[in-house]
Amino acid sequence: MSKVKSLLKNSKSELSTVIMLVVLCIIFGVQSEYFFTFRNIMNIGTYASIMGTMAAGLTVAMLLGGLDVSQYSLAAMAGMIMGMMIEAGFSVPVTLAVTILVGILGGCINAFIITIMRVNPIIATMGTQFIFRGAAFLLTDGRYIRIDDPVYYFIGNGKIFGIPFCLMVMLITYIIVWYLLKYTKYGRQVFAVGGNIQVAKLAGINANRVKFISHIIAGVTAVMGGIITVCQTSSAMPNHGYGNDMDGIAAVILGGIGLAGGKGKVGGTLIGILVLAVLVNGMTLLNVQAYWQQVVKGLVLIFAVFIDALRSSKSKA
Amino acid sequence: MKKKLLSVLLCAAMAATMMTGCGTKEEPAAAPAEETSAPEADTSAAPADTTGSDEGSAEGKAYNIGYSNMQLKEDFFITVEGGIHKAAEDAGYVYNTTISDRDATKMKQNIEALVTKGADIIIDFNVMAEAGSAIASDLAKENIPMLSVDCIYDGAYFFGVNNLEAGEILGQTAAEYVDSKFGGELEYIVNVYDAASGDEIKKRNDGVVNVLQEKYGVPDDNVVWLDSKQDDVKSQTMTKDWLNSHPDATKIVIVGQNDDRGYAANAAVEGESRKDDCIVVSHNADPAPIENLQKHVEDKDTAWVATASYNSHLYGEQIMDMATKILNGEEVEQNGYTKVTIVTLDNVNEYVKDRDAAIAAMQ
Repeated sequence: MSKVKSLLKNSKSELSTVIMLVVLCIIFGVQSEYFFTFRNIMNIGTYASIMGTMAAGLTVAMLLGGLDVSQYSLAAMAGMIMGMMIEAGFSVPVTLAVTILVGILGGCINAFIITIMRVNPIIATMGTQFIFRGAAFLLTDGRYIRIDDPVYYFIGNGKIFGIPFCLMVMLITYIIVWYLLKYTKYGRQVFAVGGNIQVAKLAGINANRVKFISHIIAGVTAVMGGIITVCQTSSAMPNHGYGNDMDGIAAVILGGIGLAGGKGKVGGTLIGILVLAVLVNGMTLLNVQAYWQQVVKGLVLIFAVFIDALRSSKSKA
Repeated sequence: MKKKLLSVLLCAAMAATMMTGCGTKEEPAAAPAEETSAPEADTSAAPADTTGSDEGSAEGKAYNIGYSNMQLKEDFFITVEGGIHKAAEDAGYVYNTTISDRDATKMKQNIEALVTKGADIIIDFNVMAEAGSAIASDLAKENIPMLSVDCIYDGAYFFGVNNLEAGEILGQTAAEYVDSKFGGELEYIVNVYDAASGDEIKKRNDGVVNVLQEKYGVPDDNVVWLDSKQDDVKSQTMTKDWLNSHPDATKIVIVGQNDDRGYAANAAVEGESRKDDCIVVSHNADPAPIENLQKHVEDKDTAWVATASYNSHLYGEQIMDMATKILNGEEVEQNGYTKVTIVTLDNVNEYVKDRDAAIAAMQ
């Protein structure tokens, strides 16, 4: 019994999200005969894979008390570069490597502005959000690029034993980030800097270095999401993800990572992602109009922040 | 524990609200209860396998129509969706729709959801040729036909505008005005267009240019292309700059790729007091040119004299007719084209009367 209590205590931040997920699944399952079909569950997974992969990196940035609203724009820009390289005939490994490098570079730019120029992370990434999005359009003058290659098609749409490959990519990303945060020195430093930067500095932790690496991770996962997007839709489009910038943040907060940073688990983010994916999918199956879906997503975000505020006030007390 | 309880209650309340307040019926209003299950049985009956089938909507076969829409913010999309919805209901079909908001990923997920709900055909109006072609290929593997609206996807049926033909028809009207206003002489053809919209949409201008060049022998150097970069202000500024740099030109036709470009060009013409030197024509029959034409029916004091209407209020009926034929396995042309009506000072009131009557019938 004490073990159960301990488990509940340690995982309570994710528990409310798990309950929300279960309740949503039950409601949608009752309301729509299609919800619990294997095909639909895989559709939810496919939908979640893009946002989920990106949010894994975002979790690290937010554990430091920062935000990154530039992820979707960076993903779009990297996707356009990827499309142009495919069009120019570059091989798959080279194209993917360069695209990932774009993510590293984008993360470095964000990190430089935040750590060296000391600009507030929200403002910094809001600025780069515009820059990356503008660059995405400038690269081809707004032209879309069709991708017609079986390898890329497989990345976005292929299945192994019936499970979407992109879903596997997302899960592997979570395992890597989970391992980084839980079992490495860097992971402990992330929590230390996010929890109390002054104390972390006094303990000899190079906070700027930790932040720098975190934003690079966010950049890399952003372009991984971009790669999956391009492969899923078989097209590179500069407006990919436009208007979705807050979805990942909502998922991370839903997953129990506070805006102040310092505590939370990447597993919580995964549950938050599933909540949003289930919510959108369920509403689509129930013919809820897209604009009402936006309203509901907004309510969920407010609800998540409200829960975060409740947690914070209790921990302070 | 209280917090957990609160979470559950809030979540349940939120979900219940959205389901009771925002949901729409999955079943068609006119369809009998047993028809709801019919589409699932029909899914296996691919159009390719049913060629020559004489089953039709008249016999009450309830097809499941999945309409993947881009948006419901602009008049054109609202009218088209209203028309398709009504036509599907009238035919007793199951009708499900989604909105992707210009997001290709969402478009793909939405179509997957429509297929999960048993769609026999996907009608898509997202105008994303690259992503749409890939989805059409996926759907073909499941024998689900796709009908794209206003944008040609590889492997899909198409319904929409024949842009070149629409341009040529508008060109004929422009020529009539050149004859009456400029005495059959033309110096310049100025195209206000968006290069980013692609070659297909550019054909709207090409059609007008072809007709006018052939009829009046306008040299290539006098055919001007102003790329507005999809910016209304830029459209107006560029037109104004061009007019100012050609003060002696007095016989000019300005072709707007759509009515937004036409509106901007006309504003530049009026702003520079060059109404007598210009004829402005454009595409879409949006509210702005219609109002402008109605305003000048009597005095004829406008340079913006014509707009090409693609009759969005007739789209739904025509699309559903095409979709039914596809699903029945009847022989259908790969590309179906909408009727084009040129709205001018002479017929604008009649056009508005017919259009409004058709829209009223949808509601």
